[in-house]
Amino acid sequence: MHSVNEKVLRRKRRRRRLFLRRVAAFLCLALLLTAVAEGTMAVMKHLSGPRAVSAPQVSAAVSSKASAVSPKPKVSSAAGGALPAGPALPAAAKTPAGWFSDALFIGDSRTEGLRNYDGLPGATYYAVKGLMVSTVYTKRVIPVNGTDKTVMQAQAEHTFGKIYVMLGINELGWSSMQSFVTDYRKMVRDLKKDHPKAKVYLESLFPVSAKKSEENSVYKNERIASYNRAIQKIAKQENIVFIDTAQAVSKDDVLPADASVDGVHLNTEYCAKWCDYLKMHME
Amino acid sequence: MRKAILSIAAILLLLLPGCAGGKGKTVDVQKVADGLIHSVKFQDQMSALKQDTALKLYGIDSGDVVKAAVYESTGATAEEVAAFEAKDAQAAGRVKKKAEERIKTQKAGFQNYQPAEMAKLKDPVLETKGNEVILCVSNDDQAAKKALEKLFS
Repeated sequence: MHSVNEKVLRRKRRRRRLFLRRVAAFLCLALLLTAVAEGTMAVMKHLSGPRAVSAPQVSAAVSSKASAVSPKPKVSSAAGGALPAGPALPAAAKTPAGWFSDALFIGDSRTEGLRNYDGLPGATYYAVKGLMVSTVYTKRVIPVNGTDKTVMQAQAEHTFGKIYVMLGINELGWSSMQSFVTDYRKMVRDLKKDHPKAKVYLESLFPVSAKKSEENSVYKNERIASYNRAIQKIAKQENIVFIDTAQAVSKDDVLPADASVDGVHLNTEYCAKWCDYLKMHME
Repeated sequence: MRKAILSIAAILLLLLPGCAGGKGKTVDVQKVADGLIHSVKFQDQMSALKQDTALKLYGIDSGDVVKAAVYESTGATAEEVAAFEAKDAQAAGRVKKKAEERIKTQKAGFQNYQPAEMAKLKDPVLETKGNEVILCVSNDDQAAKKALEKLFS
């Protein structure tokens, strides 16, 4: 009786072991199949990825750049953006290829817009929100090899053939116009000293919209005009180029209402006009 | 006993696809960015950036990204939409870090310049979905979150 019971028990144990082995084998097989499926998917994605993604998507981004999403602006053209030449700098033939590859643009949030528009191939931008002729020496905002440097420190560490400056809109609230002129002139002289062979271009400030000029106590178009006269005078005294970029975007000496959401910062359509103006005006 | 083990095996099999990678649904980043642009009411005019320009702006290594779709405001506001598809989970971590740095930079820029924009930058929508990193700076985070939920459901 005892031996019969033992036999039954042994058989049961054997069956259980066999069953557990089968389950383990089944689970291993399932895991293996899943891993193979994942791998196949990854390889397929890798193979189809670059073809489906790289070139077409970049070009899609370029084409969609011309159309702001809400509301949609009109697409600008080179012909539409090219305005009559300013008195300070005559219009030239369109810039040759590579003209901007050694160019540095120093500016505030308006120049950030130009940077984002990215219509000047190869250009370098030290564009910083709220940047002023004084803070180019103090604001550590330009990353160079992992260290944040001031605009003036960063520009001195690189070689540029052309330097374009548009600064002054954030200085409109300064109590002294003379302080602006003094700081601006110092910056220009330092740029010339650091880059004796470079051509320095001082861009005129864009006006603000009529509404902004009326409603705001700081952003006054009359004041912007007087700052532009001061910048033009500095350019003459320092024997460098004054480029009247304001002409590219102004109508009756104000920024048109459709050029900007806040009456100060240009939308894509007007960045294109600015860009085209720069391309058409060189010395 | 046998039934119990079989049930556990079946459950494990059902869970396996979900666990193997933890990626969930993948949506084209252009579709994600466009979806946010159309679902969230932005105050500013938003314009698409070229991929190279966007990567430079964020300081992202191009080797980390398969595809990017970024929309920027005119500068009048801090509004921004960015969707990056990273090459793998580690790269997605690095991209997310760069997006966090971008928020920090924008905060520093707007703090004294336009303090009203700081509310949008305080806790913007920044999510990782599989290998995708998505940032949406607006004054309607709820709409952005809802749009992402819909896109990835």
